[in-house]
Amino acid sequence: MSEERDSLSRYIVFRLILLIPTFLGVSVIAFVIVKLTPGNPLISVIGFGGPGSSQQAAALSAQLGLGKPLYVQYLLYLYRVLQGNLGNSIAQQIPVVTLFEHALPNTLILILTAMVFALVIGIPIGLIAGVRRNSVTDQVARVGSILAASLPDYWLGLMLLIVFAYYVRLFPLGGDTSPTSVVLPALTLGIGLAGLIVRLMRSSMLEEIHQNYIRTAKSKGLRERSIIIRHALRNAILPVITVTALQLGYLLAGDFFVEYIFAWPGIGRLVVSAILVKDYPVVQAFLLLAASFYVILNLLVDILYTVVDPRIRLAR
Amino acid sequence: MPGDFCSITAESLPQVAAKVEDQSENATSTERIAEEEERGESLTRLILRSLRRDKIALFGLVVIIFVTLVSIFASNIAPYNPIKQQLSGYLKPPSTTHLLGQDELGRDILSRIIYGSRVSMEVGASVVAASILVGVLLGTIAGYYGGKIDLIVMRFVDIFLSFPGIILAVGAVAIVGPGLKNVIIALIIINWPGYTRVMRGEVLRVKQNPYVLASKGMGASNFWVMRKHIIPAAISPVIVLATIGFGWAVLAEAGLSFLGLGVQPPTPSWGGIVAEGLSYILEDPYLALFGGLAIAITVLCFNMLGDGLRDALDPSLRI
Repeated sequence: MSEERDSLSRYIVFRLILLIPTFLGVSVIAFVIVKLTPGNPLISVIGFGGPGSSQQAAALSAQLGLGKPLYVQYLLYLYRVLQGNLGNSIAQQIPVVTLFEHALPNTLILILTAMVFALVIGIPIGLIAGVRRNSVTDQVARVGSILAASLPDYWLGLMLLIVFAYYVRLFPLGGDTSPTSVVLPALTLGIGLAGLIVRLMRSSMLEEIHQNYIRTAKSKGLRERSIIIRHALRNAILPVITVTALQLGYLLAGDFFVEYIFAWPGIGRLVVSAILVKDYPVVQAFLLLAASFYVILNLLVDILYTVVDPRIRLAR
Repeated sequence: MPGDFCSITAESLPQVAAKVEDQSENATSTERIAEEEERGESLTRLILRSLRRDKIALFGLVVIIFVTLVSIFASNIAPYNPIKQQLSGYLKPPSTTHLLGQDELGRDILSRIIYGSRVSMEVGASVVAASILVGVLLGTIAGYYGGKIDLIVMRFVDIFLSFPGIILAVGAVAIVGPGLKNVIIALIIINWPGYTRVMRGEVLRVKQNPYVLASKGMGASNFWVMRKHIIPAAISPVIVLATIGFGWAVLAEAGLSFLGLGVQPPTPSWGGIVAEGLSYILEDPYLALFGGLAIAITVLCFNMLGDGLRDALDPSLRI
């Protein structure tokens, strides 16, 4: 047992050490991308023309060390990032970090609501598809789950918006003006994830209903409904919820478009607006933060899986 | 027979277990050879056979062929010039002369969707072809030779896979500049690591097979073994990945075009059509509706085909 714990902690330490080159790789890519910007990067930082822009440009050039060799520039960039300085937004003239701090809670509310919707939609459908395998319901669920993964988020959002906010005025058109504002964007975001949950729930149910304890329950004469809900569902739902919780990264990618469509004041809309007005520091900072978030999330997922399933560790 | 019974009971349990495992391993490896031989010889036949059974996947294939033909013969099929403006037709709803209506500049939406398929198919095909090329090459080399080469290739794969796919593409194209070429490059950069990882995993499995060892023992060169034995036997999951990846690339390109980062106006693209529709969504929902339907149906069909192929070619991937 202690040997097993040793190998687990060694694995975690190994993965933590691997984080360093990965983070460096992420920062190099975020740095290089801005260097590839066509034209003078200073113009994009200060804004074109304007009184005193040449003095401003010279001052900023000295401050950012733009006259120095490229690797020195990168090290300076890394130094600033490690101090928590991600630069200032050109459009709004305030630190990027402050912008993200304001937007993050809204994005979290949206993503968590989307997750709840996905579970509420996906679990019952997956359950029925699993129990009635190869039935019409199962086939419809199969196509439906593939369809959910194929719909562009921004298009689905637009269609929901036009139907449920314009023709049938059930929800507000956008923004976060009322408590129901989150419903449509969260539904848009949740539908894609619901497709995945349907498939997971279906296969998890299929696995459970062939177990011995289900046969025992049947032979005791319990009703089918009670067997499925009180016995099989309880066991089948655990892995589904675990995997769902780990889909944060997937939701973050869709969040981008959905916030833009619904004018939801989160990180996605902030970044899309920045893209549209060429506010590079915001885009660069977002790339760096999103990639770091992904790296850490992937690490947690891997470690969690290793703890739950020792076979993964043995396979190494 | 009593003798046999005694001989089994005389052995300790782990020994019996080892024996059983040994036997089953032999059995599976024989089965696997047969399976690999079949795969190597008749991959196309295997795919066709499974498609005949799987109606959903077959439907996906038919629609994909249709969209491909539409994109190739766009100039012959489209009823109007897709960029010709007719301002008197401002946001006209569908009619007999313009089956899907007209956009804000009076351009025919059906013709724009027909021409828009070119961008989607071009991006999908380029991204998938380049990713397969890089992925199969690097994955085969990494898996076959192992050691340091494998370590280096896989570290690069890990670093690239740690980026949030579409978000990296959006950020990179936003900074480097919009355009079809940049979109294709960004999507290839995101995609190749997935193909490399899958190919390497398959090569690791396939290279243990006795016929590969036998071929090497008979003096075949590494290149010969990889080309004749390893790649044909390991390619199936890559085909599945490529089918789903094609749909993904279409979706990603449409997303980038929707944000104005893809192909530039007036060239029509499906994502661009939805973006124009967003501006006039309350006046004329048809523009966004039809543009999005084109994307959704195409991606859905690639996913249906991919799902069917996965069931047919790689049961271990099934969920």
